[in-house]
Amino acid sequence: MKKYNARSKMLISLAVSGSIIALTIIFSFWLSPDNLITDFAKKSLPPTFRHLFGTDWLGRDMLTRTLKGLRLSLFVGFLGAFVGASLATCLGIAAATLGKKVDSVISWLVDMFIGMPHLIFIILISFAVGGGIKGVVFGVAFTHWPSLTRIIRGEVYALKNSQYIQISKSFGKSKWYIATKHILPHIIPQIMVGFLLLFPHAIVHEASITFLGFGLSVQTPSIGLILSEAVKHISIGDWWLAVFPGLVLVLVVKSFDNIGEQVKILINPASANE
Amino acid sequence: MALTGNDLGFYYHKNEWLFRHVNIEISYGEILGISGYSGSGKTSLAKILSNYLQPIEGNLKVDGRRFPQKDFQPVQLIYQHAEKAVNPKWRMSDVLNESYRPDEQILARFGIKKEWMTRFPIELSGGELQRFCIVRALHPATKYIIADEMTTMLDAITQAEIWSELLSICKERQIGLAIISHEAALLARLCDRVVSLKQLKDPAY
Repeated sequence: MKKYNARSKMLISLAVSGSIIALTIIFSFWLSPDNLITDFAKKSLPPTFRHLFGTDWLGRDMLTRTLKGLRLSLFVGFLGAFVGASLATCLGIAAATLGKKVDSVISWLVDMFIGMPHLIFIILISFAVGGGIKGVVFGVAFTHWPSLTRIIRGEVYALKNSQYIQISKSFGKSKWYIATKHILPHIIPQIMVGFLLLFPHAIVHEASITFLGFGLSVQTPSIGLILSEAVKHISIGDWWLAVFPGLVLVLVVKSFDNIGEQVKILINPASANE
Repeated sequence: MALTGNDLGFYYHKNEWLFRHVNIEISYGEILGISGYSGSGKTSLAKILSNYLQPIEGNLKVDGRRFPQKDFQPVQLIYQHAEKAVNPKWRMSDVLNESYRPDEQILARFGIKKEWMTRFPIELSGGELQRFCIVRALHPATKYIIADEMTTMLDAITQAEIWSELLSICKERQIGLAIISHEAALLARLCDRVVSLKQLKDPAY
């Protein structure tokens, strides 16, 4: 058998992860919402060929529920990660460029947020802004900026004092020129990796706080809700209600995590040519 | 017309003066050598002369005037490590054009090959990169060049090539050149006048 090198292994792993996510999204649109109509004739069926993930106690198809719920989780995850990454970028650049006072305030905030347990903070924030999708997005965004902020601050700080930027200044280039031509191209990959690695966090946190009952409302199809409802039925033997949605959640989250990690390796010049 | 520093003083840690009361003058077309041991403040002096660092005491004037605030700096510094002085994500043509568009002739004089232009810095050697840095510093508006250990990392043949071209261009354009190095032999060979940093720090020495 042909031996794969690191590059083709990485491409295969990226392709697999990418297609898992793409399939989830495509199927979540493709599966008919009719499968979600309550039908007591098909109540609590174990997995069959017609209902791959089985049906729940109201006769709804679990595959459809899981994928549609996951789509919402992906959307919430995307928003949360996007807001979080934007916040981190702004604060990181501000800390590195706006002088010592701003830097120490932001660094203090970063230390404080890193020292605090995530989940409790997310629950507090999402409760404070009134719960629902908004609560989850803000909760995730406002708790996940610190580590990325720290990375971007360090990066911009080092760049700012680098010789080629000093030289660019001596050519009479403006701050805007230096920021857009020299600094941004260096930190955009960092932001992208940070964004990709935030995504799985956001999805898991969305699921976990909905599971705990602080997140999305009962009507919205969400993976956290499915899991929390399944708990009540698992004791009477309906194992498929929790196992399949849980597995798919792990699979999708792991795919995102994998993409993030691979892109990180690809972007880092020290490991890019391996 | 000259680059003049009067009574320059500088420290990194308060009251631990790296040097003080330093007077220095580089005239048009003059090639001045500044020698000194490592750690004696050569690079700090180079950065002050080229307006990268502000002196804590004293003042610095280019042709009797202050340095321009935002425009092109008439005093250009060339660093020891060329690979740190270019953006690793830019192609070499962009690196050059950030300063000005050099003509074929000057590129040829420094032995810069056409195929190097589309390469990234990582694909060139230190000596090849340093040629780009020198050409980049030879902007039409450049009046003085401070070369801080410019060829220390290079082999003897490359050194000889680079210096002979730079020196003749400085003479043609009447650019004042300060060569900062720890190699006394190199300075003695190239410069019109050599001062040691020790002398500058303490004229009685």
